[in-house]
Amino acid sequence: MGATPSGIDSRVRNVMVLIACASLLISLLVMANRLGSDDEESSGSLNATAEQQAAIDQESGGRNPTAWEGAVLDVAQSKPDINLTDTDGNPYSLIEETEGQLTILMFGYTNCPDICPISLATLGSAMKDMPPEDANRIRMVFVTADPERDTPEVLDEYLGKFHPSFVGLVGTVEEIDAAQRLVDDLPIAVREEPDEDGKYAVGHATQMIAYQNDGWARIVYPFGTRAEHWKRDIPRLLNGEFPA
Amino acid sequence: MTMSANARLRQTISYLLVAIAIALTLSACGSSSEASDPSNTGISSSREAVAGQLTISEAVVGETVTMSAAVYLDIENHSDETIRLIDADCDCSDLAVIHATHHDGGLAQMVHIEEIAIPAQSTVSLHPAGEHIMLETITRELVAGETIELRLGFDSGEEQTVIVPVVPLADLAERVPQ
Repeated sequence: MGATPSGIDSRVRNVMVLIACASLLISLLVMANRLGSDDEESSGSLNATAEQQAAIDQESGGRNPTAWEGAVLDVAQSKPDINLTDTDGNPYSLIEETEGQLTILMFGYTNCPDICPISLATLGSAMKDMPPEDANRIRMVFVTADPERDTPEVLDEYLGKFHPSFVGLVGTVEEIDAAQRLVDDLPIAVREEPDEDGKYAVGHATQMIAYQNDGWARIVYPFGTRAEHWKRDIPRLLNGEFPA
Repeated sequence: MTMSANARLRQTISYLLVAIAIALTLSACGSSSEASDPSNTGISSSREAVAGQLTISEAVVGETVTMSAAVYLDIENHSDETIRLIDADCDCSDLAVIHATHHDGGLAQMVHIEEIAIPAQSTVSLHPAGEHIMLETITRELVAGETIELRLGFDSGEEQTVIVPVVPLADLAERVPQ
């Protein structure tokens, strides 16, 4: 008599324990699920914050609106009196051809693996995104530091891939070296000896120098300048703001 | 006696179920955080290749404007030994070589190198104006949105094939360390 109720009792208790454990398991799983979705929600809201921050930054609320993206020079540099030949074979005087225009000058070569193409692509991309009336006021002049391989045809085709307005200048090795000496603080490009396949690299300065419409450069753009950097600085340079 | 054995059994069962629940919770958390990790889903410019001791990530190649193109990527070495990248080849060029850039007196000059050492437990990042894998004599034009297949060989004997997305050249400025 006494054993039976106690047997039922223990069986009932066992079932109850199982139910309790099962419900604990379910509630833990539900919690785990919620944790998972909380994760997603919180990372979603983090993204939203980052986007909002980017929007704020874009409106220049998050950054110093007077700061320049390029490297401001301690001493302004006058536009050099470079006289070379353009890719159509015509004489090109930098001072005469670019007078009164924002002029960006770079020395490089078309076999350059990354510095030249990336620099030209970022400026070209920025100019394509600008109102044409702004882009039309920019003179990008690229002087080859490798005149033996960069024939006018090669250089013309190369530059056209970045922006139709880009100007390429060629000359003899001596003329190119002399042109570089006219630019303040510019290291002169070096051409290494060709290997057995005739390949060689050219060491060259990486900056793009920006001369404003008064013929003076107060800022240079180091390698790594992005299209959005150009888009922030160029309108100010065009408006005659002086980097300082 | 009977009651205490029952109690012990109950305790064991509940411990077991709690352990299972914890294990399930942990695995659920793990998979959910992986799925919401922006580096795995957000920028699709790279696909991660993991094999053996190395993880290759963030691989990109610029659109072609000449007969060559440079590949940039990160290589993470999980092992306790230095591993060297010694070989590369690609389905889109006749030759793939390793290049570095020497910076001296304001001049930047590309140089050919034989290998890139990835020290134990560290990551080496190939970036513009640093090291890159140069695809020379490209056999087809590379256009943004396409992919190329790059095979990398290491001195550990490990080989990896990486699917590399082609990106606009202007985007590569973002890979230059600021």
